[in-house]
Amino acid sequence: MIRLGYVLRDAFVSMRRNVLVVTGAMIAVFISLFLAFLAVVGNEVVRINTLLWQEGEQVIVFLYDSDEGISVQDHTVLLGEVQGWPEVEAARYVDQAEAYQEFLVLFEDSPSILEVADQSDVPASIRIKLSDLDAYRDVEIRLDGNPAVRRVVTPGEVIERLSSVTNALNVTAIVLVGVLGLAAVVLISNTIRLAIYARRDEVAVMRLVGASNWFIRIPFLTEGVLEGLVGAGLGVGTVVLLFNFVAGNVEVGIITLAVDNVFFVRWGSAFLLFGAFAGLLGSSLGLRRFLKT
Amino acid sequence: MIRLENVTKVYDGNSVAVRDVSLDIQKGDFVFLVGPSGSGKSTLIRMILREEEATRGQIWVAGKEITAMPRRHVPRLRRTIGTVFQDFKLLPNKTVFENVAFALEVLGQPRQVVRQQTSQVLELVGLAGKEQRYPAQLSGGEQQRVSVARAFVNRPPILLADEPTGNLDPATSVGIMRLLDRINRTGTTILMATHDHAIVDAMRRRVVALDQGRVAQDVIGGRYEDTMVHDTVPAAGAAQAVAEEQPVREPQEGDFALPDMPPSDDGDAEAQHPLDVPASVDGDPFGKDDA
Repeated sequence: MIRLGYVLRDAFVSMRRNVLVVTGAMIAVFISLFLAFLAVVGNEVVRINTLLWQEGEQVIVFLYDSDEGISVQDHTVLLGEVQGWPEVEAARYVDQAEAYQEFLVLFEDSPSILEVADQSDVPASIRIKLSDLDAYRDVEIRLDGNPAVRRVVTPGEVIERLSSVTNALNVTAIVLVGVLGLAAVVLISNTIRLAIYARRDEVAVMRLVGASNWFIRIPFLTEGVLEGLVGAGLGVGTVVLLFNFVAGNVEVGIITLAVDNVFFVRWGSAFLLFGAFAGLLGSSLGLRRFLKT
Repeated sequence: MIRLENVTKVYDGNSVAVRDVSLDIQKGDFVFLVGPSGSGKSTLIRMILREEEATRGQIWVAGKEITAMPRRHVPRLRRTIGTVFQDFKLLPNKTVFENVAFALEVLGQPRQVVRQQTSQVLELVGLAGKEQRYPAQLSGGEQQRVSVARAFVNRPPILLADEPTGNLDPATSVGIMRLLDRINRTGTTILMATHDHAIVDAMRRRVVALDQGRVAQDVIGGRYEDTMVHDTVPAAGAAQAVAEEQPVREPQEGDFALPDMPPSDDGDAEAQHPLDVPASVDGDPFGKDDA
């Protein structure tokens, strides 16, 4: 029977005593798990967007309209041309009226934009579904210089860039998480050794009066687990805050940042568990040498 | 209660601390362990506590053979043994009450039990009213009383004392010895290592003398000098003189022949607290005494 209050109080007193080293250990856990969690979230964003891209229309060709001297007739001709290309599985025409309906839905939360724009400001477009995902470049080249084409938008390039960033992040994360994770475990084991040293008299008395080995160990293990948990909590929290900040404030254009909350909860808990485990590992290492009865 | 059979302890392969010692201590005995420094007294005590493992031989404590005992059972062994040391081993950042309560807390006792037993034992050792003091605010004698209280709060069947009066002046030592005698009379087996001639001579208990790791003498109702075959230097000072005044006689039941010492700072407090320790020792996890 070990009282939880007793154990927690002990752990906090002990952590305050070695506040510098404890902070160092927590920072190491924090940085390594922050990077790892960032990589996991980045991978998820890439995955979601790749999926969306594969399922939907991959290329949007915005067209010039009558204001610029291009007629709907020209649009239809281009559409026919595009539908004949081997890279194109399907293509459809979205006229200004339909595009305006989309626009209304898209900006329904921004009345100021809706006020200043009317149907003639919204361009018609051709939406293309590719037969081969990598062919978006060929389509771009074919459309290049066509007088009816205002702009070609494809998420392919952005996704590729994002994917390469994520890949770099993955490698960095694996290396850093490995190195920093090891450092974190070593640092935690050091804080535990300091804690044992600071309380060696108490431990000696505990042994003398016959406290069980677990009774002696558990406060120290708790301390390690707490350090790991706090570090992991900071890491997960920072990533969530950062993600929400980016999603709320930065124009990300064609990429969606619609990552599910369930994803954050599931992976966040996994990371907290991982932090706690690192703490347990560190404190077990710290205890191993000193608490042999 | 404590039995040693042909126990030998060799340190680092060549330094022999204890040589082939056999000893049988009955339940309720009060045994002095005497001998010059380095004669193996502390090693013997540490082996009974399983802080050291015997190199050869067997040791039974409260019916259990402990030299082959797995490590995880050592805490349970130590709960049957209270320990008092020369340097008190009190925690300076805990109050008197907390120091004693700590011994019960770490055994996972409920708060109610801890509070009650701690108050009870502090009264027994004559420290009622000083519960909230810190060790640094106490005299040496009072600190040792706290240490005795901590050793006894759990009501162990055995009390080991390693030079408990080594840091105390003679008058204060008498107070501690009265306390140990009182605890002994509750049925607690006491083994006390000491250099203190006056105390050994006055108490007239069983005296086991160690010399170079061997049992040199084992005398019931002995005096210090009787046992000191190698220690020819007479003890100087008042303690010796006082001890010599005591007539030699057979020990009797309940006998307490400590010399009348000048009143000590904690000698008076004791008189106000009658013995309130139950005669039977409860909670002996090892059951019956095999001795």
